Amino acid sequence: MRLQLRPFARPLLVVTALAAGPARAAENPTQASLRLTYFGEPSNDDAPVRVIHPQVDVSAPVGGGVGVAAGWEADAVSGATPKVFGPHTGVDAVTAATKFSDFRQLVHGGLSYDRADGGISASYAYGWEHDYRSHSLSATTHDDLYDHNFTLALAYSHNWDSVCDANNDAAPGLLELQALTSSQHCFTSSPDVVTRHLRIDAVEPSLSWTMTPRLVVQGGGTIMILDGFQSNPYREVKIGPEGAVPQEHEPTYRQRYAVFARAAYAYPQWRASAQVMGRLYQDSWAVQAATGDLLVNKYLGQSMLLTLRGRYHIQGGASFYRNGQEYVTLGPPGQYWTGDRELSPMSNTLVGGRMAFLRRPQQERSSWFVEMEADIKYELLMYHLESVNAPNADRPYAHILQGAFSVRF
Amino acid sequence: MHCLCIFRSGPSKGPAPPAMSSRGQSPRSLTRSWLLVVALALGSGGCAASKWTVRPHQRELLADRIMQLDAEPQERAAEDHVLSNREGAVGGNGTSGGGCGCN
Repeated sequence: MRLQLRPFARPLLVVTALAAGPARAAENPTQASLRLTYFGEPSNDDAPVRVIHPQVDVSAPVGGGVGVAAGWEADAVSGATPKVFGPHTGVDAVTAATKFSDFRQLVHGGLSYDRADGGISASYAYGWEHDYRSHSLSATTHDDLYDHNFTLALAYSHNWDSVCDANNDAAPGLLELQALTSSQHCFTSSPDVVTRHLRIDAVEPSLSWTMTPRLVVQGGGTIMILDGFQSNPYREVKIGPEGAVPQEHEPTYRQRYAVFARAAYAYPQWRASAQVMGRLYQDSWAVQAATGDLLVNKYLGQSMLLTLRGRYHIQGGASFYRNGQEYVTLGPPGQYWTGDRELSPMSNTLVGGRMAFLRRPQQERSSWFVEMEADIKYELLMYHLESVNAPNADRPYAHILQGAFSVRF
Repeated sequence: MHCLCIFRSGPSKGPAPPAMSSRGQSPRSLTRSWLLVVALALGSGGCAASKWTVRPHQRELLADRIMQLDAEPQERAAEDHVLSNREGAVGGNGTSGGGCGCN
């Protein structure tokens, strides 16, 4: 079963982290981080989807402001998903659910150069699994302006992705498109499969402003263009009263735009801070979305840090989306159809908390580290779908459990 | 925040301005007046700008990890990996993503 690869996300993360740190040092310390995330999405009808996601990252300065970074991450996925997206009252959603398991890996490495008032970095990532391969190159730059009170950052990434698909060259029409049944022959010369391509360009400018000694704000945007195969090759959608079940068929071109604003405000009397984020999103598939996020951080004693979080996301559906019942009774609105939950009108709510243990032996000369941190996090993600005929309506919520350990030398 | 502008440097110690003529200000006086206006404007602008400038010694709170918008890039990457597969939107978290969102 194909998983989603997003190696280009990491470089953009890095530059935003750099841009968001108004008081950072020009020379970053050597750091190693290990993180393990468990994602569990129970189903009312079938086996739950479980993902175990380990991450290892290391970074170190090599002198002269130059730093190196490398990392590895993986996804071990198991569960069951409906092969055919159709009305919930029909038999397809339950009986055609197929069990799957897969393993995805990604490695990345990069170089950075930091000076007192800015820096640049470049990185490469490669991800692979049975039916998906991805190469990604990224470049970032950030500059401090006006006595370090502003940070202007720009990140760009390009992906070359390869997707395994069923060979539908002989299909007489769109309604006869066959779904991929197995990844066994992927990326071979077998005639039953073909390799599709997907190119992704992403640009993310942002501007951070240290507004007062207690307030940092940031605004920015994301522009992303995807050109190539974007459907789930395994998924079928039940179309029309005659019961045709062609492969999911999504447009091959998508432009995605987002603007966001974030802020962090300190409450020193409580040894706490609050962080808020708002985002507006629109794309060329007519998906519109709004997201709000609130975090509250509070130190407990000398070594404990508690974080509480609430997040809400709401979106409209893609122009070619219909629920499982409407695809059968009305047919698709055009030449495209999907059974993807992320393209349906929906909302979700995320609540959770994290407890971190911090160790900073600043006065102990014998200490071999500068800072050590261990933390554990739990979040509950609740989906609010438009109807029981929406994709994955049998999975109303998900658990996210995470543990991490990091040390800085 | 202290404003270190020319307005706090005390009264001018320069030569006294010329006396006004009965028909108004002399050209030299006008020039000085305009210079004063410009200096006032620049000075007040400087004060306004410095009001929004956070100096290094005022960054103690900002340097704390709980004030970093992305204190944990690795955690953000993991979260983006989860959410971007389950929502139709990307961006805004310092991250980007795309693709099919399978599973």
